[in-house]
Amino acid sequence: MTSPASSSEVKYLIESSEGNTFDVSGAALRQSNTFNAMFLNIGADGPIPFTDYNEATLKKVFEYCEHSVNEENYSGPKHQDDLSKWDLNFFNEMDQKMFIDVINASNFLDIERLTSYCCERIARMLRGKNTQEMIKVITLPTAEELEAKQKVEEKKAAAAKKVAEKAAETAEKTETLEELPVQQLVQTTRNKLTRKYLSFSNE
Amino acid sequence: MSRFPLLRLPTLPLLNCIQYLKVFEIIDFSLLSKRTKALVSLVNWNHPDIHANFYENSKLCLKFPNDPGLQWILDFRVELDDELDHFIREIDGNQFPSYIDSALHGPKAFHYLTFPNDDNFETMRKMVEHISVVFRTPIASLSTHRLNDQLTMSIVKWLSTLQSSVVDLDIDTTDDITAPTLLFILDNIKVTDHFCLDLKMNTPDFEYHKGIDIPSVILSHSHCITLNSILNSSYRVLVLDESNLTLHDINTLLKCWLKGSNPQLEYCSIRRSMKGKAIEDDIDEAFQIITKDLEIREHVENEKRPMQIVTNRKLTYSLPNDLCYDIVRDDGTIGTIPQTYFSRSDEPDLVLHYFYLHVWD
Repeated sequence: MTSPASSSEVKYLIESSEGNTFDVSGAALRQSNTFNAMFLNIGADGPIPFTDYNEATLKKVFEYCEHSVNEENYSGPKHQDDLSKWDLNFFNEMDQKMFIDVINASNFLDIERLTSYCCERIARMLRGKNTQEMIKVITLPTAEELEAKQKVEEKKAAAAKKVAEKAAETAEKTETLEELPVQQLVQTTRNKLTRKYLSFSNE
Repeated sequence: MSRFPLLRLPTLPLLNCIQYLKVFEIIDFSLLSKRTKALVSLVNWNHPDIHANFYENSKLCLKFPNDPGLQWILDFRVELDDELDHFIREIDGNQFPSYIDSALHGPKAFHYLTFPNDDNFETMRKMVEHISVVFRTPIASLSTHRLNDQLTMSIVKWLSTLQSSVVDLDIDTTDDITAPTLLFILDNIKVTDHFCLDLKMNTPDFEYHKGIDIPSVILSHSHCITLNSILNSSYRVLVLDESNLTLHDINTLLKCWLKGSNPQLEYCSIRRSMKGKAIEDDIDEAFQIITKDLEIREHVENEKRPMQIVTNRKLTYSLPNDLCYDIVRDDGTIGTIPQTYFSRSDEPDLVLHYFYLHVWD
């Protein structure tokens, strides 16, 4: 449900993956470009479903948005050293899992400021490190994972190839039918119907 | 603390993270795996100016347009500095000791990532290929310094397979360069701005008659460049030292220029050296041959005439204020030529003859 449309006090209901709903102010929600593109002009009739993300993650993301409502418009990345105490606490409170969930949600909701701060924070993990040191802080896919991924991609490619071949075949048939003279086309259709009828009768 | 599953992030934030890294960190990250290399190449980089210099202590320099005061240099040295901490970096499965250091020169900063060099520049070549892919930028300029013919050939062949053209090419060889190498360079390397070939001697029995479509060319030993080749070329600046052209050839060149050939030409200088007594001993007679059947007038100093020649983005020539003569084309373009002059070199038997044509309007 959307609350009455009085610009600054507009509240929206957000639905999480658990099916729970909670309020977010319009001003906070407008920091999400995804929201702006989807709902701002047409309005939302009922809770807005962001059901790929759990309640804790969404609340964390919107906590950030509520906090930065009064900050000047986002004008590019800010250096981590320039972050406020509140911002630093906000990030430091999160464990790794929550941090990743927040990045994913922020990326989906397209909240530039939050996504960019998260990314800068990750980049700091790699700052000043060489290849050997980088390997110690980030997980690289194992050979098995890469192999499994390659198999999935090969399967996908094979499936896509089949679909493409089928589509090409259908197009070819359609083309052939289109090229036939009218009388012949009628006859072809009749034959097909007869065959269908026959097979139906046999059943 | 558990390791961060960076590569499981969605692509956009992942690329955003990479953009926050500094150049050597980006290179290190791209060296981690095929996936990280592919990811780095997806980032919308400001294309760096890449210069590769092959010699004993080779260098690969990267300059970004948004940071003109910074140079990122991959330094390939014969001897590494033992006082710096060495780290192992892996390139294509091979491990190399390496270290990072920086230097400030006035307002400019130079960051060095140093690797050991090898005789055939294999490590350097791999890094050039890698950098070119991850920053999606071809090498802008390539230079070689004091290399032998075999290595020169090997590098230009490699360059021709790596990219279709190069902005600047500067080849400097230790001794003679064979005809096949010279032919390969002239026929296969497309140079879009400036080509400098610094040979230590002429390549015997080799003449090049085809046109050369390079705006600026400097050749230290240019016996091979024939008049036909010059007339078929689209030079803006041409500097030929140790040329084999005769005074009659120079006369033909001027006549052709007056008729409209080499329309882009701004400056052409020809230096020839002659042994023993030659007709050119007589300065007046030489000048008469060069200007035969041409309408010439004495050049009067003119503010409109630029006295500097820009050979390429890094090099300018200042013209001497000699006694000169002008020839004028139908469209009003002026060609200024100096009165022919000679000088003796250190060798008593050797005479040097200088000539230039400066085009302006």
